[in-house]
Amino acid sequence: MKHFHVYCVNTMRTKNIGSMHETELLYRSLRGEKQAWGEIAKRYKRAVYGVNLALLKDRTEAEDATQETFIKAWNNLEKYDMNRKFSTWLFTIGSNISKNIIRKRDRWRFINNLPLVKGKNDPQTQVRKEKRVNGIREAVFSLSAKYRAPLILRFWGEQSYQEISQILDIPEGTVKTRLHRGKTRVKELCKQKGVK
Amino acid sequence: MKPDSDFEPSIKEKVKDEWEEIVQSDSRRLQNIENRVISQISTRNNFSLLFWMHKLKDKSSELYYQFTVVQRYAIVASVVTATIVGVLLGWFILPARNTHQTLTLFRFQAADADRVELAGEFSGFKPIEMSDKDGDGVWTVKLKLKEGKYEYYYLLNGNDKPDSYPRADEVVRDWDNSKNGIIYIRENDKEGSGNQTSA
Repeated sequence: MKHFHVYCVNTMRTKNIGSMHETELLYRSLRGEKQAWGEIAKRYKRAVYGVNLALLKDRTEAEDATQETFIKAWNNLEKYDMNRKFSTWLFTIGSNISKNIIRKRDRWRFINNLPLVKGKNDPQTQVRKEKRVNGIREAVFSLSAKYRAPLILRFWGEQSYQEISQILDIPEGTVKTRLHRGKTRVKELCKQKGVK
Repeated sequence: MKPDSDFEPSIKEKVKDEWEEIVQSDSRRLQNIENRVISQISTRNNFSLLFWMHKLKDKSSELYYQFTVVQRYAIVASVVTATIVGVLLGWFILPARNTHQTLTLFRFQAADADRVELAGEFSGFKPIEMSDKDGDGVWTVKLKLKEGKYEYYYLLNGNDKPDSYPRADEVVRDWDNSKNGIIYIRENDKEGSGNQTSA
């Protein structure tokens, strides 16, 4: 770590922040460099947003939750264990914020502002593509958050069962069950909609 | 239950692609999020009130969801009870504000006057009508006054001020060299105890 510190200090002025390794950015963030944390936010914002959207099903809330995730993570950065995967730690904070938002909601609001994919060139191909995409989208969003979140974390976030269990604070067995049920449900819905 | 890999890969790929597209379509929303985060964390330093407010909010929010609904109600009920007890204790223990007022009788003899009024600091020197119901030439008015020193004068027929104030505690000169009376109201001049103050 000492050598790493010397390396960081030496390269502080010369190295471009955009090309820095994640560990270095985290180290600098721990020292209070806000620009380094901004770079971390830049790299992880889409991933955190995706996970939050999977839980919240509301774009504006997911955006707010994403911003809050990075702020909360910054405030608790000294608690982060460097041996742990950073994305898992970040997703855990994000999912906790999202869960709190869900708890605060007085009612479950359904997302209705998802843009449908519009066909461009070949009408037949595009109609088929539209049908497939919108069918999948509808199927994924029709799942409840408890099935959708593990599905997105697994397939899109590429997290392991153990990591999903940590992020969502549920047992590993439950993660597997929910993944299986979620996937089966998506498959059924796709079949119903005639999506191939 | 089938392991993840046993499912046909198409669903996995479809969900992945679809979610990627959703997040991609929302990239405008996320455009400046890092700048917003930086500006937020810059204002939330350890010395600002806002930082501690957010910290308190986070902590209380975390704490809140650790309890069951019954426990939450119990906490709210105990906080409300403690507040009520606190207010009641304060009400009885803390010294009451001095709200005591003494009934003060102002009397002035002017047999030949048609109208007599009283003006003083208690009314912002706005004239108060006095009455002489029995026609004996003694004009009276009763006022409730708090403890203190009040300057006053009488107005005869709406214009003239008298030269003497026989019942006043002191007599002082007004700005126009006319005379005004002074009355001192003390706390022990209690209403209903027969100690009516008069001037």
